Amino acid sequence: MTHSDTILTIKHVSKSFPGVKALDKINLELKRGEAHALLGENGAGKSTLVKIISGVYKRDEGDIGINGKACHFNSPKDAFNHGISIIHQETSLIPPLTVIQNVFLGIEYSKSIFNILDDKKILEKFNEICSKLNFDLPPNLKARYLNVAEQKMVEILKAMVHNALFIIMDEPTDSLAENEIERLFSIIKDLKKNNITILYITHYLDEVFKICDNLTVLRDGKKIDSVSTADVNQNDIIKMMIGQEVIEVTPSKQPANHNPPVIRIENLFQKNVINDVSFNGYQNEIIGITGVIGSGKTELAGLIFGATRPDSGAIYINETLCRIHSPEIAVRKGIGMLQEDRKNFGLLLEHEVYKNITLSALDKFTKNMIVSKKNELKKTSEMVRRLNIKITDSCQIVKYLSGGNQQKLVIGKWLVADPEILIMDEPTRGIDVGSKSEVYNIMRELADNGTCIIFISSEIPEIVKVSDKILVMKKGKIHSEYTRGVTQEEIIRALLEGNN
Amino acid sequence: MKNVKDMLDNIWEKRKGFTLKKYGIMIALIIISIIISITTPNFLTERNIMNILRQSSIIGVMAIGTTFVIISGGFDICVGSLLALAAAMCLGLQNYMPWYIAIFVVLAMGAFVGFINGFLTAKIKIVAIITTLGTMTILRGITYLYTGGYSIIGKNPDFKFIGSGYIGPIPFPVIILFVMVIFWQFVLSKTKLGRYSCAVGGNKEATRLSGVPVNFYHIMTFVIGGLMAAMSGIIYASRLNSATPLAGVNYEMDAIAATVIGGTSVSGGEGSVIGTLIGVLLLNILGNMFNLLGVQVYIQYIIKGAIILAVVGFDSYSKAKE
Repeated sequence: MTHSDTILTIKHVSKSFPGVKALDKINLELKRGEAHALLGENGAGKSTLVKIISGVYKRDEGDIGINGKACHFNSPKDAFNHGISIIHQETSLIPPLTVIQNVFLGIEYSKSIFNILDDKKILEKFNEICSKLNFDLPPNLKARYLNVAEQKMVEILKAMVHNALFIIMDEPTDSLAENEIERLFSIIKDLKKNNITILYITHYLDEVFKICDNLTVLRDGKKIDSVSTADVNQNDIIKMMIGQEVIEVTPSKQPANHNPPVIRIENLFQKNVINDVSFNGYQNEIIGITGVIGSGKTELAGLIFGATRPDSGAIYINETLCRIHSPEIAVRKGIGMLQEDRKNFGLLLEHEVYKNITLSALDKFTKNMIVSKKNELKKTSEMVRRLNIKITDSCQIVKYLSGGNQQKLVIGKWLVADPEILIMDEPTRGIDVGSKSEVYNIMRELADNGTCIIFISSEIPEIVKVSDKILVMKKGKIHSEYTRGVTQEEIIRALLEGNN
Repeated sequence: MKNVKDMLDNIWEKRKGFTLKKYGIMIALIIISIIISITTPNFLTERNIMNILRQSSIIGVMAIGTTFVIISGGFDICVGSLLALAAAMCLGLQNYMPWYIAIFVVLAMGAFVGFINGFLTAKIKIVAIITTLGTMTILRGITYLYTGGYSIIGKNPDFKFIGSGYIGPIPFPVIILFVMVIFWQFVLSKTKLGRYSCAVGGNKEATRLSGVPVNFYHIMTFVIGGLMAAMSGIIYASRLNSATPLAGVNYEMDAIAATVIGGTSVSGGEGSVIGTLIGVLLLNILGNMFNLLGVQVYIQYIIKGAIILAVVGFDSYSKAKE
């Protein structure tokens, strides 16, 4: 090898935010062509490190070198030009532009002095890279019509077109279905063969063992260790991440099915999305709903919560027919819903913690039309204690909290509203192992206190672990139903089984 | 010593809702006032100060409504035209009914126009600035129709009190302005309406999915905008004792300028009525200073524009840097 096989060197990099030391003297070395996992709980500093590498944040101190040369990135564009690409958890594509326009954004080939776009050359290059990676994407489809998996593929293409040496993938499998994940893994293997380095950020440890050569664990802004994947097992990693074993969920008491159901859904139908769904939900019960992307599980939740309207079918709450045309009515009828996309739909990011906590139940703090901030703050500190939310002040702006804390905040918001039926759409998405168990325990506690929880998740292990009843959805239909005790394998088989 | 520091930190933390930005405006106001009082001897007279306050009252009352609209993420550029119609109706209707009933009718009209703006924006989903561009044009047209293109002259001396009267040494419109500022600041920071207005401006979809009837509150902010514009129209009519169809041209721009200078975020979600009051005062004091110093009106425009850009630029840039 002519030059060193270390592609990225990070030395003593630190970064502070007001009140938090997000990164504390991090050292890291990445080799050419390796897949390196970056692990750690939420708030451990993974995102901050990635943002520094990709030029979004400026580091307070330390050095970053690419190919042995010191680099100072002032913007993501700088990092990009040095061959560092990042595939974010949330998509960064521009919806009204087409696939090909997104891929070539920033390096549109042009000809003549008038900078006329060279569409032919662009298309040639697009096809060349697509065939190299075995991608089959319609170049002229607008990005807004792509599903999450296709969006990731476009982002990988974009990185390839920009001659990326180094791709950061932030939770790439988060919203992918099982077979799509396999696809992604084979793409990663191809990338590795092409000598491209991948920094892989995930919460799913099994993925790490499948595709990563080495891994680094961060905790509270410090590097715990970098090890070769072959030398450790899952428990070692978890110990490194949280410093203790994971708490298991205590098994539940049996739901009181003798009472009439709190929610009864009959023949719910929405054209092309939900096809004749019926089920009952009882007090003390956690109903797990799973399925691949596009199976309609999130859409079903949206229908029950009134975010969208069904074409036909009925929802009975406590045996009374309810027309739920809006979330407002849903909340009034005692339904709450944790949105999957907590940043855009669950929280007011620019607002204070306490304002978020009381948003769904402001009436409880309103007397003679005046909102009592004192009571709000009291309730907020109660929730902060109960849910173990890490904040410094109730008036803190939510934007600066870590993902896990933000999620607990959303849960807190609904606890204050105290709904009879709580829909939780991917409540553990993008949060760390420790926070996950906390969320499971909160769910169990809520259910034991009488709430009926509709738990939507594409993570089968947690569905199996937490739910009393499991519904597997496929193409808008309930494909099969299981009770507690079913194994993961059975559910996975049901998901992968043939068409019907 | 450490305790004192902790205590100060603590106070600082608690005051976070009342940000540096707003203090900045207040400090600017004080500094400018001091400069003016030194450079222009006529500034610090009771007469001049009352004059400034009275001049501020019309735009001030209007800007309160603008503040609510902008906080909820909207924009209202029809308030200048609404002022003209309100002023014309207020005087015209007095031919048929007592002045106090005319006032109520005009306020109701303002609220109704606000409702239409809100409905078109929240329900029909027209972008707010386009909605109010439309209603701005329509209202101006209605005002011309109503007045026939001529000025309407007021006849009732009682009605004149609203714009020209005094209680003690203080002009009555100034009292209206301060009462309104206190009342609406209270609404903004202490009531559900205020909280939800901010929430809608912060993230309408997240607020909707929290079970809040967002469209109602979104519309309500426009209703407040219309109501306050009508109220400013009444003060205007009473003060001048006449109303021309060309009244209030560009007033909406002054109201918006005062609102953003006063620290209300242009992208919605946060702001304060008191900040807006300070913004209005700042603009008027500057205008007053320039007049006393004999600066040309044309130059005043340029300076006013530059101030708006500087304030909003500072705000946006510091936000982007976060």
